[in-house]
Amino acid sequence: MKHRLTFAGKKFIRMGTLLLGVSLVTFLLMNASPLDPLQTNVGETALGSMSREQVENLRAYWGVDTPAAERYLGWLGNALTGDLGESLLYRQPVLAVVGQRLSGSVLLLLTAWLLSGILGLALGVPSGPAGGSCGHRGRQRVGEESAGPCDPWDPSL
Amino acid sequence: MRRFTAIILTAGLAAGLLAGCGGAIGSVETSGESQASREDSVIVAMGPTSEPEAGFDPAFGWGAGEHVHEPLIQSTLTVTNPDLTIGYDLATDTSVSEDGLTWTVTIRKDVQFTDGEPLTAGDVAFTYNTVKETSSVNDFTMLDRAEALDDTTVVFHMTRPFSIWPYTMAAVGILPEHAYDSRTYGTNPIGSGRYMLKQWDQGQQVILEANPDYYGEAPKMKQVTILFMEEDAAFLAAQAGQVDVAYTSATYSYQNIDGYELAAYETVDNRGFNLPAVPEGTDEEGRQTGNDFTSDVRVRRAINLGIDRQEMIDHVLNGYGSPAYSVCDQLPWYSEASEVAYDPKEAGKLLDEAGWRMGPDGVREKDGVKASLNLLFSTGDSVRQALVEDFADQMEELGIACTTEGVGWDAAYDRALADPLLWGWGAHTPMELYNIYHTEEKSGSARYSPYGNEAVDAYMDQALASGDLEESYALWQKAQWDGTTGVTQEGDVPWVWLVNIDHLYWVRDGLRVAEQKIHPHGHGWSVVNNVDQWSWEE
Repeated sequence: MKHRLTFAGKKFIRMGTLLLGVSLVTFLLMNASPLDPLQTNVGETALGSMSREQVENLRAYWGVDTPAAERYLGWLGNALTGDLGESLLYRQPVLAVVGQRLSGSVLLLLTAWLLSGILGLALGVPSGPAGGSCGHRGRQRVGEESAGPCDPWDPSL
Repeated sequence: MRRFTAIILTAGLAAGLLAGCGGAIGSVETSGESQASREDSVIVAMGPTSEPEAGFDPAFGWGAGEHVHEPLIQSTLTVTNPDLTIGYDLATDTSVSEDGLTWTVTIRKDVQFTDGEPLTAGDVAFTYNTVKETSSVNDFTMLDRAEALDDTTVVFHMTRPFSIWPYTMAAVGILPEHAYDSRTYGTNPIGSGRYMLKQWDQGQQVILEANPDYYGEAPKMKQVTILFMEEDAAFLAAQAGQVDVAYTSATYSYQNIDGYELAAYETVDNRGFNLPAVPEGTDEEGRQTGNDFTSDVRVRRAINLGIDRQEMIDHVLNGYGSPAYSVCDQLPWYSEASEVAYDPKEAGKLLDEAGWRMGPDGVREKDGVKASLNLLFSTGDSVRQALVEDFADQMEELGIACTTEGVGWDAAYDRALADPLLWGWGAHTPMELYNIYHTEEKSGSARYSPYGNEAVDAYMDQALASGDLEESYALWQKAQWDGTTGVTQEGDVPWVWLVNIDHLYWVRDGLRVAEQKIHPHGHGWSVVNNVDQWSWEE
């Protein structure tokens, strides 16, 4: 039992540090990106019709003038307490936005997993050693797991 | 036995899976296709950027921003007419105080939200006060607060005079105070407009249904489906007959689709160069500003005369465009003094006068320096690049050696302070004119390109402070040219405008699309501003 706990514990720590690393790298990449958040999210023409004051308001909203370290540490602090915050662009909780995108991915994942499971079982079971009429050469080739001849009545063997 | 059980179980699993997935996918496809055959419905393909990320919530910019359009699901106080003058939607009267700091608007009494509740001035005040707080693309820095005096009168207390407030009002949909939750309104909007949101499959489509209790003229189109797809996918969808209207661009204009017509709508979606109007130097932040060649006004005037705009339209836009002489062609605040005729001879004379004489190699020279321009364009837009190359060719004919350079938007703003950059503008408000030519307090120079003219500044300030919108149009025009000075050909010409790009759409034969008001910058919801007036031919 203790061995299992240690094993699981190590895995979790590894996962935690990996997530931390990924978040840091993602943040750094986004920071290094030449794209200006205002240009990308608000748009050149929209900015051109605004007063300077409103542009400053938007810069504050998008955190353009906040130092990068402050932004990352602020996010990290909140994330560790479970508050992933609200999306600036979608104006919804981040978990909701991620959830919407994730549901599509999960559906694909599940479908692929189930299909491969079904096909695998359907093709593998009859070709296995416990099967009776597995004499057909094609099925035997597919069922790679079968070891040796399984039907003494197969004329081809 | 084990094998038998295994087979039964996997078969059961498969059946359950297919039943579940089939249901989900089927609902998207059937709702799209079955509507195409109805006589009072239409399917329109728009670009993916047209989908509002934050939902159909005016507080988060629905209807405003880059691409101003009528919110359809909500009503607005005012609207812009096809010629961009102001009309009324909910408002029955608007008036402004002498000092320009108080706007009073009365609204009609017979409006209901789609949940049955009446729309009152309280909802209007709530909307404006909420939008002010949300840091969205709506610029409400000139509004202090909105107040409802009674059920049909709203008062706007401004922080500074703003004569063009009706243009801002035309882009703000009215929210229901009793039913507004900023978390959910975007996906489930309740409005009083011509249409209701029936279904929204994020990333794919929006289905709008006509509002049966609409207070105005009943919409002719009962169902409108908007599909969001990239340009090439939209083209293929039109070819396959799956959409009735598909946006497209000049690249596809050479093609032909059976059963469809290519419709070109006029726009104020312009392209133009800024010409730095001061000599080279550096500003307080250490950036390079100014350009010794374009700082001479005669050179700028020569450039403006030496552009064959029609040739650019024919070669780069395949004929789908109109010459642009200002940032606001055809809009009520456009000054006709901006128009110039292509005159390369006169351009040559002006350059000679300025001391730039033609050298033996075809390039003009002055004091040992060759006439040259480094033209910048934003990468990722092939039309802009093509326009820049065409412009460069034309300038070479005048004797100006040109180099072209693609820049990313991060660097473009700074680089444009010293070298001409090709910009794309075009908005339904004179504020754009203001922001391009008016000096900024902090720097003493205009925002995007170094320039300053006190007379121009003064006219524009007067225009904003004016108590009469109609009168203010004349002041905006004076700012462009008042007989002695301005930003047009006879004046300072700090910006040179090239073309207005037409917006192209494939339209199915038999569909009568109602008269389009001049489109602003960018393809988008503008085309369906009046979709309630569209109809199918019998």
